Amino acid sequence: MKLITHNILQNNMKDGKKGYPLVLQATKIDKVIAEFNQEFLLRMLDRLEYHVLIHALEMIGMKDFLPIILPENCSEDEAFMKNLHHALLEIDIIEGELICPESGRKFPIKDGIPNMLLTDEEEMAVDSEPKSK
Amino acid sequence: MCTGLSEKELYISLSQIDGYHSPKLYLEQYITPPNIAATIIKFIDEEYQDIRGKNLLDLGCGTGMLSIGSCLLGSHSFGIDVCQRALGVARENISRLGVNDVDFICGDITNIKQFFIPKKIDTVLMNPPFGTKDNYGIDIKFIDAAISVSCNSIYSLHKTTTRKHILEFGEMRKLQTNVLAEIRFNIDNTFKFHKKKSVDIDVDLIKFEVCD
Ligand SMILES: C[S@@+](CC[C@H](N)C(=O)[O-])C[C@H]1O[C@@H](n2cnc3c(N)ncnc32)[C@H](O)[C@@H]1O
Repeated sequence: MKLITHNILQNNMKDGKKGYPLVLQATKIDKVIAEFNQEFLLRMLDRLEYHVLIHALEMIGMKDFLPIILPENCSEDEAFMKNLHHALLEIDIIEGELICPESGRKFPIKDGIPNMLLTDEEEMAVDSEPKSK
Repeated sequence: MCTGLSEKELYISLSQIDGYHSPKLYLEQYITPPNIAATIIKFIDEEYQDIRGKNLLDLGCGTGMLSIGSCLLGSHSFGIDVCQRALGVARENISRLGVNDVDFICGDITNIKQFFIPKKIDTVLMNPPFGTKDNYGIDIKFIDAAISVSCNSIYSLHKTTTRKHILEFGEMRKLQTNVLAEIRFNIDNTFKFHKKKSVDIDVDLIKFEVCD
């Protein structure tokens, strides 16, 4: 799971409380290489929460990697854009946990895949057919 | 990623994608045939520029045919499926193909608003369950989920026999809805009780345009 994905996951609860951003605990992290695309990054900057990305970096112990506040004219700052690219797309959380800050519910990350299923849905997804059928 | 792949090259790569190891019938687990996936993805890229440089979500991604295929043409992809085993195969597929720009998430799309923040996605591309067996209505739930996350275009495959129903739904949600292509789909004998070796079905590629 890349940090771009952490940025758009949440735990929205039935009582209306929003669990966001999710606490990220990583026990195994890989680095991958992704293609750099400036236009894509700028569009994502508009759409994503920059402070949540910074928070995520902090939680995995890489906090000095990007400035806490988004620099002005960042599109002209080549070093910044490279680091942003790396932070969003090249850090792959292989094992760990996402934790809802409101309820404490844990969502495991295994083999790079965050599991956002709630418990009853997990039962549905195991091997047998749903009981009602 | 190399973004200049031809349809043929894309097809050759997608042929290496492994399918479901023990498909579950009630989840309609069969892969989009690689030739069809390659044609559709190339078509969307060339005709509508909705692949390259876009962030793309594949709902019910299974073993990753559409999300990985889009990635090979330069999208950043996300795939969501309820089945962890299928996603395990999807992860193997990306390492085999050397694709990195894709993340898989295990989740139930009928509950997508609980875990996925709305309106973050450029393009949704999906081959949802047809919902013509005892899972009636699941196709509409997939479109609904797509509408909640997308801020631009949704491309979805539906059985041609359900066309009227799907178009009416698009109209009801006030989306511009068009049938882009009719495709003959050949589904391998994934499920043992099919007597024939494979079955042909007619499928529509439908585009919904979402305005913010
Ligand atoms: C027809 S397959 C498409 C597979 C893949 N997109 C492809 O093109 O090869 C439909 C997929 O939807 C998934 N699915 C069915 N119901 C779901 C749900 N409620 N939430 C998430 N995924 C679901 C199934 O597990 C299956 O992988």
